[in-house]
Amino acid sequence: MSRYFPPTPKPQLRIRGVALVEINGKQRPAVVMSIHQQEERALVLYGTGTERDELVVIRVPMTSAAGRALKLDKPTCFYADGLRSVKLSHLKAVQGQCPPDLFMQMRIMVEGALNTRPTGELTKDLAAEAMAPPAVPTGSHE
Amino acid sequence: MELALRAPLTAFSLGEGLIASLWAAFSSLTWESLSTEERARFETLKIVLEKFGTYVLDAEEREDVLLRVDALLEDPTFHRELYGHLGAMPQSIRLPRTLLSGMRGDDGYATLFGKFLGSGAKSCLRDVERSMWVFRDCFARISNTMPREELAKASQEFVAMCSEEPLWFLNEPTTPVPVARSLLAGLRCDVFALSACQAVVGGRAVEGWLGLAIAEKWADEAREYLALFASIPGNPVPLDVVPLHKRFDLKALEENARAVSAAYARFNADAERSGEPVFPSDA
Repeated sequence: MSRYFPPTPKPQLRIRGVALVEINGKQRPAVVMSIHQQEERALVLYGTGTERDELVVIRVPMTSAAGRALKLDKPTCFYADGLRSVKLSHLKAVQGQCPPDLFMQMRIMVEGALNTRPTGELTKDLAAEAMAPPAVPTGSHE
Repeated sequence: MELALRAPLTAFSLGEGLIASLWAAFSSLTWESLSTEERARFETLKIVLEKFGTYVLDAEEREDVLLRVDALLEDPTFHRELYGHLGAMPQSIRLPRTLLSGMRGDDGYATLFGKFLGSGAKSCLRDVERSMWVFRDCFARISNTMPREELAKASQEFVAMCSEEPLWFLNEPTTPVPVARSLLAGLRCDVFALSACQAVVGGRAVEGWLGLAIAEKWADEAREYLALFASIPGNPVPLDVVPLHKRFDLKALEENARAVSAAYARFNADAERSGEPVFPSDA
């Protein structure tokens, strides 16, 4: 019997997929959180290599299983204020898919922020309000 | 959230349906009673087990085990092939109730799977078996309160959706994260059961670390899955299986999910009004 190999997802704009979005003149990797076809927009959570100690963060080391799944080329931090609504035409789908456990961590962080903050006020420290994310083998996170 | 709550009651069962089907198939008494067509279906199921179960049993380290489990769950073909075959299993092939009652406390899982997953895995296998019995008690209660057709329909819908968009429930803001987590755990349990069955069917004793990794994660995911059942009032889930702090307030979760959906809608509306391609802009 031939061995089974899981299919490699093609680059495609889909929820949990990875896309590049331009933020401050730089292309950033972003995980697609939701897609709104009618408005031709998607909500994405973009990552950055910048460490910001004052904020709740999901850190994804490049060499971790999650980092490899996202096809990261450096250690990446995801913060709640990294949520953006982006026109689909401004997103470039790339290889990579967010693993289930990491995506649920991101949902907890984003939903906690959306639910409690008006748009534009996502930079406040959410440590007191965020649920403790489940342990997940993505590397360290706070 | 309604489908997400109703469906897993039958869509998967900690792998018990799979194990029961195989157990019965390998019982000579049952095998002889099968028709030629039914035997052919079991042979096909064995091929499916080998294909997917071997993939998990080929894991190269502990972290690789869950990665492979999730890789299978992300493949629509897996859902179509496994649940399609399970759904086609003869309805007559179920462990008879008398046999099930006799098995309670007989260390069935540790005895059967321990030979192939290793003696180090037995303690966790006992936990899995206990969880399976708790699940069956919950299912028995639920079966008495919901029409069979409704259960079957919800199960079919859930599996059909997974065959089109695997793990679709993770993506829905209307499915609260703790509920999505439980559903994912239920599916993972089926894959662990499949792998353990393949070890038995293939006669392949796996290395101790692998057997332990499979059994440990299977036991953990079984409890995560049961957290959903424990959160439904009236379900008989003991506190030592799912402690109070692991149980959800489903009503509060549902309200929160509605608030989250509204918040997403507001965010989008603000973005539309702004006209900016990336909102909020960083200018």
